[in-house]
Amino acid sequence: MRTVYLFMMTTIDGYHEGPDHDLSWLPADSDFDEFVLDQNRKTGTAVFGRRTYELMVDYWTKDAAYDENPAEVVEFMRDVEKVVVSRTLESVDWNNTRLVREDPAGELRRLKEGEGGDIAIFGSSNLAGSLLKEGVIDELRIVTAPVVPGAGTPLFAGLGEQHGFELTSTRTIGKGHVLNVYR
Amino acid sequence: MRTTFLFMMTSIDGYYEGPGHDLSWHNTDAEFDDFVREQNSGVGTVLFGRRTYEMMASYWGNDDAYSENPAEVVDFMRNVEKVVFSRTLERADWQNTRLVRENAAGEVRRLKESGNGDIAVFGSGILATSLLTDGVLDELRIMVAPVALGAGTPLFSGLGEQRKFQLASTRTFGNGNVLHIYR
Repeated sequence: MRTVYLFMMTTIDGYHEGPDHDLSWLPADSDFDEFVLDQNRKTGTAVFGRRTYELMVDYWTKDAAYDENPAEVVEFMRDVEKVVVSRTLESVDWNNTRLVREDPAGELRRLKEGEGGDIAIFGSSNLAGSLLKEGVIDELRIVTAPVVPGAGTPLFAGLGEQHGFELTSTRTIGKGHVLNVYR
Repeated sequence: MRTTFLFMMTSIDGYYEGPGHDLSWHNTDAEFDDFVREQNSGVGTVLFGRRTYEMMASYWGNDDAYSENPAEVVDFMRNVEKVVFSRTLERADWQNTRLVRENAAGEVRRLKESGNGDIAVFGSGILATSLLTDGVLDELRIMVAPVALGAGTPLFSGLGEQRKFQLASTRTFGNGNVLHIYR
């Protein structure tokens, strides 16, 4: 059975993006790059909501992505199997990308039964909230940046109810980011 | 110069209280009690906003508090010097408590220049935001409980501009709480 993990960056006050989609506080150092490389090597499928997908296509298909990231990370994002969950998108034309319009939890359950590496949900707070509610996420990997924007988009906007977890590990990434892993 | 710190428990998604001021998700045990005792031993003054003060005075003033907490913690809360900031409270009757109506930051600056021990802000989300805005909070001690609430009151809600911190340390607790200390 494949593991489904949610990988999200957040702030001390629980926003996965600041006002006006500000992400200037994302970690950018070699320790973080190494963590991401290692995580990617174990990942077979990446799942996004619509807005994260659009941001990702825009960012990772530009050659400027090579200036800001290790080449292996850029190529991973371009080549990995990708699933986009959206009712409104008409088509997806990024490399190796499939559009799923309905029942994302069912789609994830099917993917879990198949072969391959881990299934990653990157960002996508609305999708994450609804999948948490459906119980198809096995692991949360939350990276907290040492910043308080005071406003923004909450981490699990679509959750709707309280959800308890078990902490499995904690580590510091770079100088000031903390990765907490929950199951 | 005395250090002013905020001690606050939050959820993974950055809320310090759930809908309807819900704190039932707070995650405490003997190790937490030990931590609180140790933290209290360095504290000379405790600051509250109005709502936290009312909850604290009612909880710690009642002798039931002894059945749910180490006696030392109850006695500390009763005996320590306390300041409550409120424009609407008419008086503050709890022992060793002073009511300050205006200029919380000025009062904290005066406290920092004299007296002994750390100055602690416990909970008190609105007061914490205003002290952070005015630059008189030296340290954040954020204890993240292993729960996602999905809704509630975000930490530092209403902070006018982004603040950056240095991560000083983290500590993992057996019950899944992670203490993040920022300066």
